[in-house]
Amino acid sequence: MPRSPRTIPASSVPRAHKSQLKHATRIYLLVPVWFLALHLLALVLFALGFLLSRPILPDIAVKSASYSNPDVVLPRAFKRTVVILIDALRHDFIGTSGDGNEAYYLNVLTTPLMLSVSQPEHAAVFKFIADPPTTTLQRLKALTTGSLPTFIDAGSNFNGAEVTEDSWIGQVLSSRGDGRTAFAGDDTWLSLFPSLSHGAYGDRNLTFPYESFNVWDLHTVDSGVTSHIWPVLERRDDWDVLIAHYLGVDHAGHRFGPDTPQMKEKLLEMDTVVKNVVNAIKDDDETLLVVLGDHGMDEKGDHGGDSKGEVEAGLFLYSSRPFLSPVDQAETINQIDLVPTLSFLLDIPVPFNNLGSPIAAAMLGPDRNFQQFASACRIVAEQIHGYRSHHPSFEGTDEITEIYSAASEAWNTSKDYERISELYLAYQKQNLKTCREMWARFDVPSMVAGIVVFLASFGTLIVFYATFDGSLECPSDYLNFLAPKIGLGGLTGLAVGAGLGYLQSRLAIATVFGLAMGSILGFIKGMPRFPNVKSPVSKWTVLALSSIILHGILFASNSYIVWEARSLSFLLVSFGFTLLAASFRLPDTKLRATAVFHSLVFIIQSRIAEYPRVCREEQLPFCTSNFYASTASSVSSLTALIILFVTAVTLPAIIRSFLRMSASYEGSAPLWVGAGLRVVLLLVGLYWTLDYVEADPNSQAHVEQFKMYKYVISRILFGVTVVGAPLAWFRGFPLCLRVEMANNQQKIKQAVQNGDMDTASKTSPVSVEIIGFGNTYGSLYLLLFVSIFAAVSLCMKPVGGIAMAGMVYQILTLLELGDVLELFTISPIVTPTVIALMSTQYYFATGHQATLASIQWDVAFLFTESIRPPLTHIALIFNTLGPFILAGLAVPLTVFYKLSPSPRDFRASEAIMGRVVRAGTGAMIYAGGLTLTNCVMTVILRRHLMVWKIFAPRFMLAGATVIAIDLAIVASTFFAGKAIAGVYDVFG
Amino acid sequence: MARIKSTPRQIATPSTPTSPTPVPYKQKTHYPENVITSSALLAFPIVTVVLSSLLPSDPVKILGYSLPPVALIQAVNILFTNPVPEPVAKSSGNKKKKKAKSTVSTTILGLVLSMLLTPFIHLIYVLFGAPVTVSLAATFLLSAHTALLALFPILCTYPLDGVTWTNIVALKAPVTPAYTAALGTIAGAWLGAVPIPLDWDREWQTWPVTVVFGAYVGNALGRLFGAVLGGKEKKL
Repeated sequence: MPRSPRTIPASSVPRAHKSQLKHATRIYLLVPVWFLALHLLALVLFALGFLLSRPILPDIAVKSASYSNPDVVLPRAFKRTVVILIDALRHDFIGTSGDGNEAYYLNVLTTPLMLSVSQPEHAAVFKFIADPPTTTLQRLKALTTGSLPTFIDAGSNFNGAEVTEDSWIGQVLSSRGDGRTAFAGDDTWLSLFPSLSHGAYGDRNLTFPYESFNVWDLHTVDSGVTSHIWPVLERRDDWDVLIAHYLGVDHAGHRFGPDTPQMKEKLLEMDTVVKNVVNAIKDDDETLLVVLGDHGMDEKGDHGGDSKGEVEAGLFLYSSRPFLSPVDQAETINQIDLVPTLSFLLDIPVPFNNLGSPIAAAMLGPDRNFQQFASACRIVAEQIHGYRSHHPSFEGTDEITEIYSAASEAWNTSKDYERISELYLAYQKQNLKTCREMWARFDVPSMVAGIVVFLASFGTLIVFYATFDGSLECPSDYLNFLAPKIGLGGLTGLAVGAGLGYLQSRLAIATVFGLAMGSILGFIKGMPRFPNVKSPVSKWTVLALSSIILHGILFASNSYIVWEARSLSFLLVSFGFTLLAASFRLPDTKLRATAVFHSLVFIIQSRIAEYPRVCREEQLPFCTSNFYASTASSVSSLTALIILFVTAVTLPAIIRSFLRMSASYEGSAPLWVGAGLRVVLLLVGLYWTLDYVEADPNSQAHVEQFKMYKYVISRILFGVTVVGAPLAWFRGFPLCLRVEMANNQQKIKQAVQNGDMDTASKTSPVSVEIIGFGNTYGSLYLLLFVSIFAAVSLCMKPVGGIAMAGMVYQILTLLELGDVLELFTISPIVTPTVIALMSTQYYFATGHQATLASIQWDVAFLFTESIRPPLTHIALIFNTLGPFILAGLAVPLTVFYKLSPSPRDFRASEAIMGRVVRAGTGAMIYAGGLTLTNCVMTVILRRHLMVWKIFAPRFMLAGATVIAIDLAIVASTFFAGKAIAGVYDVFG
Repeated sequence: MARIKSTPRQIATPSTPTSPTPVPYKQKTHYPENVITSSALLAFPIVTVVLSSLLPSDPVKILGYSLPPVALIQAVNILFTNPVPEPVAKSSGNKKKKKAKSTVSTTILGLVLSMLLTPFIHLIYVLFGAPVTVSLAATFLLSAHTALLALFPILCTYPLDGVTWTNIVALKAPVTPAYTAALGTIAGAWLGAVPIPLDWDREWQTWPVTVVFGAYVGNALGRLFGAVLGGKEKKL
């Protein structure tokens, strides 16, 4: 039914109102900004306590002056080293049975122990203690650099894998020459040390990497490694270091567990390998054999945590030359101790960041020469001292430096080498202890402080949402009143926190905490001025809040985090059926049919959104990736490209059909959506087609030329979508309206004929109809929304682009349902909540997982051949967080959709702004609440086995989510303010 | 002068109170025979226990074999516990017989209809995340069981007309044990999906064991709930 005619006066809007509205829209922006700041502060607090990081110094060690000191005597070095790494070789796998225990894994891999008993000067077995996290990547870093890798290494380079700090591998390569290595096994090594792959003799490659991914395959890697190392072992003069990394034991543990026949079989195979290698180097006293486990396993065969079984790995040293002082069988050493020991045995400088101590047995040698041991200890202590003096975080730890000075003093004044080595070792142990405390412990007070701030800001958001319900007469006045209170509270809290924190030497945390809580207390102080609003809580609001709980509960279990995409689809489908039931309650048959149709579409969309996926390791074998052409590539399939083109054509048509429902496919819409968006999406498709052709090894295309075309297309699109379209929106203000002149002579004539003089006199001869008036705000804002969608879509892989188009369609479906079911007015929180819920679902649909490995680093090179700060970062941010950004930007649509302006009503325009802010807080309640539950679960489960593999990455995703959504809400509130002020200018 | 053409729907438009008359269902219900009701209530927990203990070994076989007995139990249940129109004072024995007969035919019709609607339920399970290409037999049999538990009784209880069924889907049909049992079945099946992703490696976590279990428990609880409310024509 067309709206009754309305008069718009020709007179212009009062200037005072215009500027007042502009001011009001700016004040409103403070609300999301404040909550964004609170969430940021809370995240910083939590992350400071949880995400341990260690700064990495890039320095490379060189041999110090001590090496040429006449008092320094070092053990004779070996020419060659064979390192056999048996993944997850627990100490008791090479130990004795103990108390009549007859587990499958006992007394199988017996060669090391037998040799160490029969030839104690040639062979020794150690209990080899790993520092958690006991995951292979972190362990390999520790075993080569001698440091304590934490979950995130602050200095790690762009794609996170390559080891950039000093390591004994690097030292060998630089002192013996590139290519003097041979390698077979887990390809993790090559991503850590790409130069390992240079090993070759003649034209024959000496590098044989294998994928470590498939834990269901016990034998491929191991038999491959074994078959490759024999010929290499025979060609001794062509390499100095041979690394063989076996994975079978680890895989058998993961798949079957340690106490199983499969494990026994695997260990028997390893025993044969060790025996054969020992035999192969029996006649060669220039070769050192190191057999080690990078970590152990728990009783289930998994690892990653810090239980006894996981940290106790085994180490076996052997050479046909007597080089050891006989050791006790249960001798315990740290894994990082291998690094300085190997450095001396290979005659290379001790790596710069090393924290380990030399192994006494290997330094003393068969004749128990304490001068050798003291010399080694001195050199390592010197290296550690150098490291500490380069590192700002060691400032103010003078008592440790004092031990060093005392030891050096003893070295200079006495010849009691046993005592000197004890002093140096004490220094090293003390240093390691402080480093562990600094890097390897959760700071629980800081984590709890983060949770408290999250909880308080969650409560504040709820209070804000509940009271800001539109019944306030002039909301901006309240904000004007609250803002100074919040600011003052924040400053007071900052000062108090800084003061107290200084006294407790927790300055950073206390200051951040004080700032956040102070501003919240300031808000609470201003609350009594709020009117008592008692709007009834709708069932939809209850549903929205319980969906936070339902989604949050997933973080309590590693299984649900692993299967989160499917769980979310389940929740969204459930919500779809709720919508369906609600649709059937609509009294109007026509509306009911519309609502039922869109509910069904919503359900199907929610189900389909679960389909595109890149599986994470933990999902195998119950999951098949379909995001790329095959599981082993990161190139998209041809089918995906075809669907991408289909999407490029159909999505604008879908948007058009939604706009037509409100007669607002008028004015700028056909140009913007029908032409602009379509062309952009087609060009995105063209870009990926070129990428596809380029990646095809069989193509005869001129690859270089293709690359150029690719960059030209992507940069033009970047300019158009990221810069051009938003600018055009701001400047041109593309209203989707059409003005139609109608001649009313006929009507008047008819009225006169009918004797209806009243109508005849009131109807003017010519009238102006504004087509699309009923969706003025919605259509205007939607244009901006689709332009940002196009920018995000540009940074997505083909399947990701399809998924994002699906997200836009689903958001439109939800908006239509929200309009028909009047959700926007009944419960302004429910649609923003569901949009935010959808954003996580689409995060998974764009080929991501809650793991660091799933970040699609290759989009960094979407616009440029090398890393260029703004372009690269925008590409990565849009690619990773695109769904969250779009969700935040879609929130004002829950107010604007099918909303017509209220001409000449300044208060009504301001009220719309209030509703936009309120919807924004709705989405923030969801994002903040979700991160809150995630943090709580993470604190509770911080000792969980899977904390580094599953919970920590999920926490990082939750942190990124809340910041991305909050930022997008701030941006969307700003855009919405512009739209409202602009529409007021036109119709005011 | 300007006229403004606008969207068909505006937020401000007050909803016209032309909602479909909620209860055209005027049968006076009386829930007789406490014995029968309670025995029916007992039947499903027993079926649940038996099914859930056997199910993990071979879901498809057990679900298939148990389908006819469950259908029989449901049919008996419906025949004895469904609300029977109160005998009119004048009614003769002949008429009574006719009523009973129509109940039998209603039951048969309901059974056939619920079986025919099984693919539809299968589709709903797929929408909720059931596998599309594998475990088809298991999902289909689960759907058949769900149809027997949820659809069969309501098909026999409520008249087959649009308004009634719109209300049923809109969750505002008058409360009867059949209806609460159906809602209980749906809630139980929904909750039954919850433990599936857990990495406990238990046999009973295989699809669709937990959902069957949830559906049966939910059905029994819903029926109990409905029997307690007993004929009070409440709206949910």
